[in-house]
Order: sequence, then C-alpha cells, then structure tokens
Amino acid sequence: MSIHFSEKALKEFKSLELLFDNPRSKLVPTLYLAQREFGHLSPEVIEYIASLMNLSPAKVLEVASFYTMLHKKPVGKYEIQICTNVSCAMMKSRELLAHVEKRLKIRSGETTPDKLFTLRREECLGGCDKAPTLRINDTYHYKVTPEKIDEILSKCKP
Amino acid sequence: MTHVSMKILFEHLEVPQIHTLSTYREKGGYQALEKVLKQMKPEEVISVVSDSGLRGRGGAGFPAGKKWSFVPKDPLKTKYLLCNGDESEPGTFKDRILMEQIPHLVLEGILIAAYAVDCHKAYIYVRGEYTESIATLEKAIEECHAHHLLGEAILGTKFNLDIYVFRGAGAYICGEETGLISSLEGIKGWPKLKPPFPALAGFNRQPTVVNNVETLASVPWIIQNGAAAYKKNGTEKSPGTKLFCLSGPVKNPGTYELPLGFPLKDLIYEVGGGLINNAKLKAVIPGGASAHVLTAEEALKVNLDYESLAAAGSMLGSGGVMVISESQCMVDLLSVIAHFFKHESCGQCTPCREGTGWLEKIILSILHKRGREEDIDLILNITRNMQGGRTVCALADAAAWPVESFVKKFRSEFEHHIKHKRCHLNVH
Amino acid sequence: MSTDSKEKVKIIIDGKEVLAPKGENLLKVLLENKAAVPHYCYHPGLSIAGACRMCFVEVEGQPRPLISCNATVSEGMAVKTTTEKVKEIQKWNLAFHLINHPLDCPICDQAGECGLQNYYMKHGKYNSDMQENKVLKRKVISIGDHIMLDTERCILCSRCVRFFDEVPKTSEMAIFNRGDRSEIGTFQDKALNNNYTLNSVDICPVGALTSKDFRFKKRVWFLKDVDSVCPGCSTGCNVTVSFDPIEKRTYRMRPRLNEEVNSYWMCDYGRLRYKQTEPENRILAPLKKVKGNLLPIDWKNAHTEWKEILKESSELAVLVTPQYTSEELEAVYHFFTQTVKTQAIFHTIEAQKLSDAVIDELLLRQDKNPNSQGLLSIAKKYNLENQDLFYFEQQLKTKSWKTLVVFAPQDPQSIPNFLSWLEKGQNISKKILIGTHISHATPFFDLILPTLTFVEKNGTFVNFKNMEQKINAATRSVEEAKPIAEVLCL
Repeated sequence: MSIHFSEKALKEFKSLELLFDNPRSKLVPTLYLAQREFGHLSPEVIEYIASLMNLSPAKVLEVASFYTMLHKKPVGKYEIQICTNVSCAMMKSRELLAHVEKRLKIRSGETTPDKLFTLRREECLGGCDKAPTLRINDTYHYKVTPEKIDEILSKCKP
Repeated sequence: MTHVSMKILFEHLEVPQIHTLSTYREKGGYQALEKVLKQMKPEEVISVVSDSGLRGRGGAGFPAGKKWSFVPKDPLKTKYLLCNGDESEPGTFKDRILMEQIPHLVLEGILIAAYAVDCHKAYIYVRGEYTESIATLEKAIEECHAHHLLGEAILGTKFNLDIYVFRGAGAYICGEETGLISSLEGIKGWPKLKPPFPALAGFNRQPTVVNNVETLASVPWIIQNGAAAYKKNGTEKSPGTKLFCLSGPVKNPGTYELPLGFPLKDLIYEVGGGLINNAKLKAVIPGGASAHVLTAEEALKVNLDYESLAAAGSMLGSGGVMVISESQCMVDLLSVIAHFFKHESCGQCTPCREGTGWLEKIILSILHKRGREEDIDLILNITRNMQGGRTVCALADAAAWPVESFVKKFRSEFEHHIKHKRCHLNVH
Repeated sequence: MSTDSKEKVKIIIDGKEVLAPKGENLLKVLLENKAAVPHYCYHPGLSIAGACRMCFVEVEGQPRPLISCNATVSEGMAVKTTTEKVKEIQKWNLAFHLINHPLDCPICDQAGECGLQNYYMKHGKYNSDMQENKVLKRKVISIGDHIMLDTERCILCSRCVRFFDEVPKTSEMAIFNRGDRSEIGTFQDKALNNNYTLNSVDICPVGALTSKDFRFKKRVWFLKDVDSVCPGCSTGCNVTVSFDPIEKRTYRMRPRLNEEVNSYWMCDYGRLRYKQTEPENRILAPLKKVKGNLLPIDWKNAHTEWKEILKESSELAVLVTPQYTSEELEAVYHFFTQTVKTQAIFHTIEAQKLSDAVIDELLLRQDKNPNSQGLLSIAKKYNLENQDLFYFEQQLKTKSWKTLVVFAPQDPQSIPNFLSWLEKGQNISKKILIGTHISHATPFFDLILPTLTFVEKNGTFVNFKNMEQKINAATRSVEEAKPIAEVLCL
C-alpha cells in the first residue's frame, strides 16, 4: 500500500489499544487520526485503515460515511460550518449562509477552487444563546453578522 | 428576579479557575466522592439517588437511581458507565457548560455513579464539535490521575476507575443511548433493538449505564446534602433543579439553573428579559426541537417540570427552550426542523428513514408555493404512523412531534401558504 | 440448540391454541403456524435486524403493538396478527417502503415473487399519496461475476449485508451513508469474491440484487418448481429446480432448507450446475462411429448395436462414475455382474478425496460427485469396492479387454481430465459411452448412448455423511435421452 501512518501516528494508533476492551472500538478514533494525517478519508485511506484494523473496507466506509465530521472528500484549509437550526435560523443564520455562499462563490458542501474554504450548512452546534453560531475549523464564532464574517474571512490566509 | 433558587449545578460556576482541581477542591469538590468511597456501600448510594427523585436530564427523564439498580450485581461481569455528552438536541447547550467550565463536577458524578454500579471503566462520549469540552475534560482527568482521584486505589480505597473521553463524529442519533453504544463499538451509530436493555447487555454486550452529563453532575450535591435537601427544590414529582437553555429572540438568552416547576413565562419574561424589541410571543418549543411546540397561550400557563409539560402535551426534554416571536413564519421554521430530522435519521427503520424525508419534502413544497390542500391531512397521517413505538428508537417520534404540533396548532399558516401560494407574513 | 429440546408452552395465535418452544422467536413460530405475518428484514438463517417494521403484532397485556421478530415465546402469550391496528401499521409501513421505490416492475426480474408486490396486494391497496420527487439512487451496478445491484429498488432490509457478515463471513457488503440517502453496496463497487454470492439474490425480498444468470431470461410465473439435490459435490445441498414446462428447460436452481445439510444456502458453483442440463453440449441422440465419424442413429439401431456388442464380448470391462443415482448404479452393477457376467466393474472414486473438509467458505467439498457414498455401498454389496481407477489402470496393462463401457460424468467440468488415458488403451476394440455430454473424449468411442441428467429423473443420491436424499424429475430437455434401465435394455 502506498500510504501509511507516520511513526508518530502509528504510535498513537497503538496507544488506542489501551482504551478499549474491544479492538473495534478504535475505529472512530483511528478515522479521526487518519483524517488528521491524510486530510481526508480517500478510498485508499479507507483501505489502509481496514488493513490496520483487520476489517473489511466496506465496514470501514460504512462507519466513515455515517458521520458528518469524517470527510470522504478533500476539505479546504478553512472549514466554515454555519448552524441553520431553529434558534440560529430565527437569528438570521440562513441569510448569513447565503451571504457567505455569495462571497465565496460556492454552495454549501463545496470547496473553493483555491482549496482555501469549505462551506457547510450545519445542524445545531450548541451555541444557540449566541446565535447565529458558526465554527471555522475548531473555533466557535458567535453572534455573527455578515460584516463580522467578512472580517473573519479576510483574515483567513492561505 | 422574584424567584430565588438554590444553585446545585452552577453553585460555583462563577468561581475563577473552578475548572482546575485545586479550586474545585477548595470549594468542597470531591468530598462527596470521599464520603461515598469511605462511608457508603454502593447500594446506599443508589438508594440516596433514588430517594432524591433525580431523573435523567438528557431528554427521556428516566429515574437515575432506578437505572443504576437494574445493573446486575454479579461481580464477575464487566460493567460500563457511559456519560452522554453528545449534546445535539437543537436548542440545548447546557452539558457543554458543565464540561467546559466545571469538568470536575462531571468527573465526580461519574466516579460516584461508577462506584454505585461497580464499574471500573467509564467513557465520556462528547459530541465531535465540542473540542473545548474534550480538551478540558482530558486535562481534568489528567489532574485526577495525578491526585489519586482516578486510576488504582482512589483516595486510598480499593476502588479503581479509569475514565476515557470518546469524541463523537457528527451524528445526532449517537445521543440516543444505544446509538451511542454502537458508535463506541466502532460500528455506525445505529440504535439497538430492545430488549435486551443496556443495563443487562449494553456496551460490548455487558451491563451498561448511560447517563447524561447534567444527571451525573447533580449526583455529588445529592450525596453531600442528602435526598431530602435535593427534594426541597422543584416540585413533588419533579424534584431538584434543571439547567434550562433559553434561546431565540429574547433579550437575555443563556443557560439558567432553575428549580423544576419554574413557570415558563417567568423564564422568558423575567430571567430572559422578554423578547427583543418587545415583540409579541407566538410560540415556544420547550424541550429541544423534538418537543411539541406550545402556543403563546399554552406557554404562558405552563410550568417547567416533567408532569406539567406532559400535561400540556409537550415535554421537558433536554431543557432547550426556544422562543418564537410573532414575526416568525411557522411553515418556514418547521422546514428547518424537518430538514434536521431527515438529515439525522440513521436510516435503519423504514418509517423513520422514509417518513422524515417525505415530511420535509411536503413541508418544503408548501413553503415553496406548491402545496396541495390534502397535504395537511397527509402530513398528520404520516406523523401518526411514525410515532408510538413504530421504530427501534424514538427519533421517529421526535421527528413527528414538532411537525404534528406545528401543523395542528398553526394550521391556518399552512393553509394560507397552500391557498394563497404565499406567506401570510411575506417573510419569504 | 435445536428447538425440539426446548420446553413447549401453550400460546394463542389469533384465538387458536398452539404449542411452541419457550423462548423461540415469535415471528418464526407465527410463520410456522401459518400466520401470514409480513416481513422483509427477518430471515430465519440470519440475525435479527428489526428494521423493516412490518411484522408488528398485538400481544395481550402489552400496551402497544410490537415487532414479532424481536419477541420471544412465553407461556400463555396471546398474539393477534390481524387487528385493525396491526393492519394500519402494515399498510403505512408498506407505503413508507414504496414512496421512494422506482416501481419498475415491468423490467424487474423479481416481479412475481417480490415482497413489495405481494404485500401491496395483501396489505396495501391504497392510492399513493406520494407526490414529491423520489430519492434517486444508483442502478445497474455489477458487483461480481454473478450479481447486479440496483440500489434504488433496495428497501434496506440489510439481509444481504447480514448474510455476508454471518454466513461466508466476508463482510463485503455494507449500508453506506444514512437516512434516506442510505445505500447498500460493496466498497467502491468491488466484485463480491466468495462462492456464496447468489444466496444474496435469493434472500433479497425485492429486485435490488438480481442474478446475472437469470436476469431478463424468464418471467418467474412461467416457471414450475421441483425439489431436488444439487449434483455439484458430495455435500448434497437440497435445492429447488425451476423449469419452464413448455420450453422443457431449466432456468435456475435455488437452495431449499435442510438444517442438517445446507441450512438455507448453497454455493455459486453448485447452483450453476443446472446449466449442464441445457441441450447445448448434450448428447442429443445415439451416435455410432462410421468410418471414423460419429453419426446419429435411432434407438432401434442403437439397441441392435448394443446387443451385438454384448453378445460378442467375452472380455468386457465397465467404468462407472459416481454421478448416477443409486437406483441407476444398482441396475448397472446388477446387469453387468448377473446378465453380462463380468466382475470387471471399476469406479472412479478417489478415497483420499472423500474427506469431510469443505474447500471454500462453507459447503463445497473436494469430492465433486453427488453419489460417491451410494456407489461405494453398492460396489461393496458386489464385493467390488476396491476396484477403483488406479486398479483399473493397472489392470489395463495386463488384461486384454475387448470392450469397455463407460458411464461418463454427467458434469464434464467436475472431472476435467476424465478419460485422458483413453488414447493409451489401444488394445480395446470396442468402446461404448453412456452419458449425457459431448466432451473431449467423445471421439474415442464407437457407440454413444445418451441418458438423463439430474433434472430429468427421479432417484437417490447419498451424500458425504451417508444421508440418502431424493432427486425428482423436472423436465426432459433432451427428448432422445433415455433412463439407464432403458439404455441397458433391462
């Protein structure tokens, strides 16, 4: 196989062993690890993880495809997740999403051609009291207005 | 504020550095654990929690002590405690505060519960987006290991426990206890058929208790102060306090610890300061997106406890109170909720997999001026046939309830969209 | 644990009292007692999924209807399978199954034996309320030599997924994505690579998985079924042979439940053995060698030839393959020992191939003959069991046989090198083949007499563990082929 974990990642993979009584429980943490290593879970990565964990690639993809935070397609450097659920929707998050779509010239679920941004319409992110809420990579931003997002995005450098 | 209430969960929320072990201990942290480990038998712990009347704070409201008592006493069996921090119910953001700001309260609750059910391996399943919760909990666990509060011989006793944090990966259904177990087992988060129930055959087919973060965080106080003290809060049937997440167009949205039985009206108008621009209240979703919506009239009469909300035809749920102002189109808002449940249905059971998608499509077609007169009855027929035990888990019910209640209680808005092919509020 | 050993308790099914094993799966018991409870995901050979939600029943004392596939039998339980509530649930669950189904029945091979069609007629019969656009999914995906997948027809019952997880244990199929975007498939449409793939077609309750072999060949309602036994190896899987009685042609073979032999399954290799019964490559008429060419003759002439050969022949040897029924083999041994009076009857059984071990995931055995044990026991009766192929080849060097009669394999693929030594046996002046197929060896014979394949006759095969199992005649694909008794002129 042409791809493999770095030594550090392999060590981390092995350390997962200690956490669980059933080796299969390692799968989601391992997929996260693979995502960190390889950017996204390409078919090649899925096959690699399957061989590492002694599972069929179908079962690994079954799990990977179930969870929205495990990426089967390449993701931009900045992943923008805008909550459009009830409280954020009432606080104009869908308008915000439309604004970002227009600004980045992509639709929700797409990545800009320069691979800088991926935009996602998200469900509740647990920031309803400071709506509208969005996340850029692992950072939360609250009470986001179009002006505020413009400012944030302009600071996102390649 | 007219209501002065005791703080049980948020007692020390404002204390600087309360997330650190030293500050938490200065404020009396881990004394309940010490009491439990050194002075109480597991069954005494269970009986105190049972007596307190503490019910599950994740949504289903199952009595916590009872849940623990179902775990077999067989010492040869491995038992697991899973702390459910997969907080994903729309409108809910309380567990996050506990995990991020008072992580040791959560850990102490887990330690006590684990002792009560003879568990030596516990997991905190945290939703994937809550990276800060994960980091804080992991730090707190590390501190505990360094101070004999986790690992072998905790506080010098014979009790051992390890707690691991497991990061979810983006699936609402993993907040359902058996979906959570599936996810932890490395399979997709499909809820499991019951029977068998998790208390007998859960994680790795072993006896398993799944408790919500807030439920477990309530335990140390109950142990320290006793069941009777806990029951002084709240109502007779719904004792204690609960975290309520107030959101929507109100002046003071946020998470508030209030005694159960607190009037919803007071939460909105006194605690929450009323609606922005003093807009008129149209409706309230009282317990997360799954709950039946209440009209303004219903909302202003109801108290926030299990029984009152059930009597009003809704539920306390997760405590996510979402306020809806009169300028909000209910067809539009329902389309948001319907989309959510379609997006999150795991796909296992046919009525849910197909029903959630079908409902969203009909609601969108009404919203987009393609609605037919018969659609309203069709929606109600579909929702009726998705609920009441038709599926493995309650997601189908949760998807049906808001749709059913929106359409029944705000029928004229739906009819207007269908008849006039436009929004009565002209908002879309 | 077999259900017989379980304690039997009384339960009431739709008012009728029956005895059922305590703790047994309720749906299984209901179906065994002819309660027509609809179900898609339940399959008695697989684990319980509880996903299709069709098998709801009402149980007295239970607050609401429950799925019978996840309930177990308990003493005194009163089950109702046809209440108004249950009917309402079934109708709606069927509607949920159908809203996104493509309804392409006219071009679907499953039509006529489809769970959606059948239950619609029984439990549905409503006007569809679905006016919205259906969810579109991928169609006509080849996933292996034998299987075509249509994910749009799939109702996500997960039977196929559980089958590959639990039976051949290859875990090659899965359900990807979630909600109404869920799709069954293999990883990257990879070909299924095991010897049991076609079972997934049998258990698919709809037309999502179809057999490439059967696809677009025949509408199922033209087919008739008979019970039989697979001739592919010594396991002797119980099968159903489906044939068109007008065309006189066999179209498919599917496994039939036998807990002691094959459970609900059979291998792909065995399943496709029926193709050997097709007229292509069969011996269609008696053949006689005239000036080096094999020419068809009628049976009257063939029999005259046959009798002449037997009359002239003082030095005659017979070679039998274990691909004939016990009845046929008994006739052969009896005829040659008693009438022709020769003891030179040899068989092709290789003792070392009779081991119990399977050579694939589950059922296929090394001994690719359906009746080795039957042949051995008959040979033993005549004290000829030690006369095997090895012994025959030894004897060939010393004996001066004038005539050789060969009962050839009915499945030429099962013994590919059969008779490859014939060229060496030049001292035999007359060689007669009795069999079903033209093969590479055919030109070496002087007289060829066609007989019946396993779908054309009744009889007994004895499998590797000495179980006698019956095969039944379906149809005669080759009109001129005759039963062994008639071939031998008994």
